[in-house]
Amino acid sequence: MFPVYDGLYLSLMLVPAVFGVVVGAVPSKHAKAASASLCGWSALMGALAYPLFLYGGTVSYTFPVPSAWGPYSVLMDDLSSMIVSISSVVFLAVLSHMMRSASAPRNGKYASLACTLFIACVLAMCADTVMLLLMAWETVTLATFLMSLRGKNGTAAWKFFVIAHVGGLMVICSFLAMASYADGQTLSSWSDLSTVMGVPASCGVIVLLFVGFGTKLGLIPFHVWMPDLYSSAPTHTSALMSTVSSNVAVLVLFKSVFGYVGVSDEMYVLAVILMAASSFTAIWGALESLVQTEPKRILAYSSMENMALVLLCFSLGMLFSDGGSPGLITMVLVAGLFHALNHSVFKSLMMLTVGSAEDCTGETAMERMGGLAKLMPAFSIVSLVAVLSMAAVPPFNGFASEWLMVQSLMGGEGIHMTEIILPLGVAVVGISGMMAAVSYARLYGFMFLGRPRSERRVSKMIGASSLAPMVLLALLCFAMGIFATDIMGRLAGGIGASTTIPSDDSYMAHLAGTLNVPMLAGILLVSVFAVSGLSRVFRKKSTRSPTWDCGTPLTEEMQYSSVGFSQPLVRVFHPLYGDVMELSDDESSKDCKRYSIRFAEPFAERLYVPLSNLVMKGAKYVGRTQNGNIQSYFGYILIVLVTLLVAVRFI
Amino acid sequence: MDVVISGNLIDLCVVAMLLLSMLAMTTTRIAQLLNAFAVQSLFLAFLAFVVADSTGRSELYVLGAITLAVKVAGIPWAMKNTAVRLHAGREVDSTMGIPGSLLISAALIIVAYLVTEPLMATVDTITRNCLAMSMSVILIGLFMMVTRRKAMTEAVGLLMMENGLFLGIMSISYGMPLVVEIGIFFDVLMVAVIIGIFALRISRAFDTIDTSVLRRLKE
Amino acid sequence: MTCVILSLSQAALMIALSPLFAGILRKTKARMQHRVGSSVFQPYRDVAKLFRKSETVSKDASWLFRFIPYVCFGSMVLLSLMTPFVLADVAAPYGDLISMVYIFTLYRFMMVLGGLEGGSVFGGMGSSREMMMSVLIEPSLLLSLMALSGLTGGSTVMSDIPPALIGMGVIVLAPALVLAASSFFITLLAENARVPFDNPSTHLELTMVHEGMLIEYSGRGLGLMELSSMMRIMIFASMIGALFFPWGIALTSSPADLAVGVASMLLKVLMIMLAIAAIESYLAKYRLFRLPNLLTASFALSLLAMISLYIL
Repeated sequence: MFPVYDGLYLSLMLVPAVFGVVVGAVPSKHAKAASASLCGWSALMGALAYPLFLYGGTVSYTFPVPSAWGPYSVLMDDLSSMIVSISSVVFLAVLSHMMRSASAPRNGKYASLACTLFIACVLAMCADTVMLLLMAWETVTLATFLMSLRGKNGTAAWKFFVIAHVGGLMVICSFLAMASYADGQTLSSWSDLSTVMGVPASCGVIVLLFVGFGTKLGLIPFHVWMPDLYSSAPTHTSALMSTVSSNVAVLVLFKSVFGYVGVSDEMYVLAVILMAASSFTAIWGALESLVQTEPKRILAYSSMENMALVLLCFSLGMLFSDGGSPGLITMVLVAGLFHALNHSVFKSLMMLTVGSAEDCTGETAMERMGGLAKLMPAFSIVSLVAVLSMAAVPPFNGFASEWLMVQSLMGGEGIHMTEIILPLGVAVVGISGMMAAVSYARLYGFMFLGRPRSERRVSKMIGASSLAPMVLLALLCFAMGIFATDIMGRLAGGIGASTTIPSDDSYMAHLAGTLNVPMLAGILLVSVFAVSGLSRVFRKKSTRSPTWDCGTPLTEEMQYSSVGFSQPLVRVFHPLYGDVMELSDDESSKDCKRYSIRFAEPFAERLYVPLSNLVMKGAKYVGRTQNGNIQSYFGYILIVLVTLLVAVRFI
Repeated sequence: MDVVISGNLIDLCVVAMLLLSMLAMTTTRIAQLLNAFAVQSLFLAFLAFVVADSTGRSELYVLGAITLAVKVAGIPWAMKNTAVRLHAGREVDSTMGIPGSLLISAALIIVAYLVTEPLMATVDTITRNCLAMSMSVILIGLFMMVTRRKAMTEAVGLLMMENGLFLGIMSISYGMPLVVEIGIFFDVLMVAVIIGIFALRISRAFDTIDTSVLRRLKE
Repeated sequence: MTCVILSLSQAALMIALSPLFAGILRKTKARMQHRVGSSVFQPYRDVAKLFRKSETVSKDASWLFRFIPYVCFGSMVLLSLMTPFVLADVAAPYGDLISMVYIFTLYRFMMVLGGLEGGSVFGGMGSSREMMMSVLIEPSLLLSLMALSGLTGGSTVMSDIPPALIGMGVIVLAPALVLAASSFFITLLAENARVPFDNPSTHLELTMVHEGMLIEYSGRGLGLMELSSMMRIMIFASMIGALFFPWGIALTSSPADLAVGVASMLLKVLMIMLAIAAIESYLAKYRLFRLPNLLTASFALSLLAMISLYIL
């Protein structure tokens, strides 16, 4: 495109959101609506990024801001514009759901923070200079932190704040390390720095990047903030956090590892270690999501599992770089990026589902919901789409990316050391995917099916304005499944453009002949509708009667409970859960006892508690020096000064 | 015999031996355990015959025959008799669940593969593929001795390790000189006899053949 | 065009024969237990009767409940179009092993949701147990298929596998194939609720898994579910026959080859059904928490298949 149009497009996208930040801060009744609609406009423009890229090519622009750190410029290439588009659609849907949702904060500040988050995410995804990238990334963290503060959830939010900043520090360190080796000022001029840096330094940088972005994605053991924050923050914050800001992390991580640093042959040990870490995270996330009783916590753990699968794909990409064909590397990276995109669509849909269900019932525990499908059929259809995509069932989008993952694991033979690793990888993808499917079946079954599980009736039905954004996302789930092969090809092109991995169409051509989602969907739909149509023509009498009850009328409580549902798996995986059965007195009556299961939190108990004890102990030692006597402070200054002078003289 | 067919037969025998080792990890009865050992030895003998046939080494026929006599018939029969005389030893109790021990066995196979991978390239016998499998049989046998409590089952673990060793020697160099092999057989037989007597003694002294009670000797 | 017709008629044959093989299975089992047993055509009569009956639906069930039987049946129709049964290269452009695994997931997922629909305790229990088993089955199913695809050159397209295996000659004895097939057979028993895992012939007992999920269905819905589950075991059996031991399958669409293909496939499926009947007669159903042992064994077998593929 011409520079003038680039600037015009970017200002059309970003300026309304900047106004939105300001407008939201005005203390007025309409501040929220005004700010959110400005942000909605921005998101709409953001959604046009990829069509515009196809039409006019790369968008690049340098902000006319004087700076001591070099120019602030953005570059929207193939991959960035695609991810910006999809993230913007998700953002738009979440925003328009937020406008009418009862549970969303009513003040304008929340909308103003959403505008900030949008600007920061877009800038982080297409930043072309280090300073802009780091500033935008920090702003993403800060905005999500402020958006998640609500009422008394201080601990969860602060936990997130601390862990995310440890991660942010690592990201900063890694980028500064890269910058010290690189020549050019812009990120797009960095490529394959590992040839300059040498293997040990680049391995160090890759570890820092993985851990730094992993804190946001829930890599073990940095995941402890996730479930608490997701369950206590406003729904829309969690929705944006688990989708849009995860997309930012995945994209920047991908570009840094495979584009800027570049993967060389000698890194397979590191790749295996990263694979092990992400496999462990995936299985742990899936296991924990099976036993949660709050829908939002289930979604938190499932985000962890999905993002771990993405990281698994990236580490496989590193592994395959040691002797694998370029087509194979591209394929596994496509699987990772595609899964991240799909996750952002179906997870935001599921988050909105949970939010709407909470709005309608006023309940947050799965144990007290139920029977929503009968009351709100349209709502239940839309949510079923989300659940089916999350469970990786054809013909929806989750299926396409998991299929590609398994396919690339099966195709990667004959590479150094992979004979043993790949079958284990397939087993990890299989078992964690299936466990995730179980937890979604449980989530859907206990929220929507059966009888209502508490006396409290549904207070209000879901409105069309809340349903519309969800329908949009559900259609996107379906479309991304049907056009999976096309999207994979585009992602492969994007990967070829932003990394030095040579493009190789052989695998993509092979895929086109193997995965045929439209065909599968077509046969499935035709046979389902043909049979149901036939059955409608030859209709038989159908009567309604109570569920078969063995002679005792069934009450709300006489259903399978969600805790009982996951019990067989808890018993099978008992050594991993470390669950403890506890017997306590019941409050309601003296004669009754109450059994409850407590699940151990090994990471909190074994890692964070000792760590915080250590820090407190250290703080006590430091505290002794702070005696309040002004003379001793002068003494400290003297000591520091003398040490510094001596150090400067001799080093 | 056709080279492809004999190669396939060798592979099948080796895999069957490994499978029987894993099966032995899952059984809960001494009789079944001894049967597994006997069948494993049967496959070993058959393997020796196949290798003898395709390489023309006649001493392997002798070794196969001794294996048949000692390990397929003799030792299992004797140990079953001991088990019957001990009464208590029908149920095997393991310190680890079946899924856990199966998964650890699978991990041991992977370790065996990783360890023997460079070695396999240097050997050029038709049985060199068996090296990793034989190492796995040895490791699983040792693992069985780690997890099982009864002296009888520990003995079976040891015997299975010995099967693995025999397989390994055969895969590297088609077996050792006949005299050495016969010496080893004699050793194995002695081990079986000694453990049988030992188990009887333990059972008389402690009323059980659970070796974990031997810890009491320390006190 | 001929390919489309052949593919459709193959699927039609599979659907039409599945109740017959279910009947043969029941009859053999009855004979092995010294009973006379019902006719081998009884399943046809059962399904026809269910289709004629009127339906009773639980008051608590939603729209999904009526929809589930159609989805389950539709996914089985899709699979019978995908699987090579008589002719090898029938569903070349979309018959893929990994997609197949996920279509089975669709079937199971829907059935589990159906179990939770009525809010009855039986349904919930069946669903819960089914989900436990499916978590443990999934890795061994994927690994045994991975071993199969690795053995035949890395392609996951189903129609590539029979020609590749046949082209390899006397590989019948290849350990990887035998191990993968035995792991797949255990998966077959688990997926189809056969004896060590579940008892298909009991109703209203605390042991039941599959039947528990179907308890609220009646009339046409039940008929479709029953037919789908007969088709499912037929598809599994013909996959063992066509993918793991493909000798006899028609590689070209000449009439002679097709005739041999039909005959050999019927023979193979018959043998597998007889094996299942024998297992059901000689084994008792396992306690629920002993099932992980068997499924771990299946996983170990398939992992061993993978490893032996590389070692040997």
